[in-house]
Amino acid sequence: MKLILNYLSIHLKVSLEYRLPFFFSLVSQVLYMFIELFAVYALFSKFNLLGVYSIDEILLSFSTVWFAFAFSEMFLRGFDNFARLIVNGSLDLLLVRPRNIYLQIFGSDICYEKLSRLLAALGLFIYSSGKLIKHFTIGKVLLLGNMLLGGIILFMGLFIIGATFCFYTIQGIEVVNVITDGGKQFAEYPMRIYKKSLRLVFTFVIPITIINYYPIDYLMGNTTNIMYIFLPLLTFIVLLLSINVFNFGLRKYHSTGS
Amino acid sequence: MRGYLKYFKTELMVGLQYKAAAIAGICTQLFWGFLFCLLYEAFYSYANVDAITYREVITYVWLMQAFFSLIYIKIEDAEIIGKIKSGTVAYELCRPYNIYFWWFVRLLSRKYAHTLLKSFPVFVFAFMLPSAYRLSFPISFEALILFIITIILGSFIVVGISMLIHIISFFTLESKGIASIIASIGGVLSGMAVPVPLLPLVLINITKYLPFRLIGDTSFRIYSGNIGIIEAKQTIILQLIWVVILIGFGLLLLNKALKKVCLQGG
Repeated sequence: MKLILNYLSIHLKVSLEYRLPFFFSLVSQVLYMFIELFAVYALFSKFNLLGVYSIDEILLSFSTVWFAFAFSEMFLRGFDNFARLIVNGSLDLLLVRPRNIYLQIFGSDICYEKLSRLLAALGLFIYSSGKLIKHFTIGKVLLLGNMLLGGIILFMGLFIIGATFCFYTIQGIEVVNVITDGGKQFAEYPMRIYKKSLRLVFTFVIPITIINYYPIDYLMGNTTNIMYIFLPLLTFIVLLLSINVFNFGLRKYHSTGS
Repeated sequence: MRGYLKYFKTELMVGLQYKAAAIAGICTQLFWGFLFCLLYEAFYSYANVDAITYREVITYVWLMQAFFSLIYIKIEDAEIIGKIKSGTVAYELCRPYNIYFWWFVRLLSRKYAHTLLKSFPVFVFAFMLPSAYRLSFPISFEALILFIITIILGSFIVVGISMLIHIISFFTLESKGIASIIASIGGVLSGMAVPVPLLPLVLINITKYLPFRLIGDTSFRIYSGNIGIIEAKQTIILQLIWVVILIGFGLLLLNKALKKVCLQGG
């Protein structure tokens, strides 16, 4: 725990060394998110769908995914840029240290620039859920918490799976971003806009519907099935799976160094 | 002039070596293209938009994926930035060439190398898809010619913008922040997020006064016939004007920056 705090503070200091660029980065990160949001909104208004999908539903779908994504981008940067650790041999260094490897990869890089995004997404999430939900119940509040948690867990899993590919490819992580960025891109729209077949893909292949599509159904009062509240927690399966795959990759890993 | 051409060729060859990265890039582009097709299919199943038809959007999507490397604004060249930071830029200045155009050629050649590697497979794939997602042929031969001209001029504009971003790092020594602000705003205004006709009216009006829309958006719409021939010809003139403005401004800024550069070298 102390180690985590240490990592966090070191990277914060690094970020603050170049104050002006850091500030620009914070602005640009959150700007980018709002531009995306604007594009989403633009599409809905161009197609006259704002009657069918309320602005709050759009905002909630959007912010759930972006919150989870920003969280992973910020704290799992080490996994995101995992190829770099392999290519320059830093991974070997981490492996010989008597500490948990996940912890160390986490500590290898933390991207504070995403903080603005994370907070903005959280703000949107709270605002839109407050407006979307007509009658608050304990179940609904619990579900909101689960959505945030489930989102974080899911994207963690996806990022770790992405990193695992680097054991085999060493390079070419661009393809891997497809899972994370692609998932985000799909799920930032309210997912009931898609065909059912496509939704099934995003339930059983990349289970992104369980963090925003089904929960929002429940929040809007379309269903009262109590199971929906705990649905986002199924993302732990993804995380567990990805950790196993990663460990397997790690065992087969041969250093690229000399 | 011959020196620049030679440099262009050498850099192009260097760029063409990265085949594995290109294959990865192609897969990514195909995935994104397909993703956007599904997305727009969902929207167009609810309603139609007068400004741009479903077919034109699909064509737009695939052309954008094929020419993605050409139109994407970002800091491509860590090497140039590195040179500026470390001070080895001094060597570059010793060359008997104008450093602005030297780097311009470098950025341009990299873009063409990536595009040459990627666009062909994307085209082949996009032409073979089931008809709902298929890339259409250009509306006419004339449109195809105009498309080619405008996309080339568009690449000059994007490199002109990216040169400005590089030059700014002479002043700030860290260009990531500014670059990504420009890239994200430019991205939207050039139709990377959503085709320009699908943007809100306010933004469409803003794009008229900025160069971003001329990078890819207009070319793609000329190809599909969303923009008529007469307007397409006007686009070319507009593009030429912007190329001159961007290069002129870049040269000016670079000269200003170079007066300071001696402070960094060691």
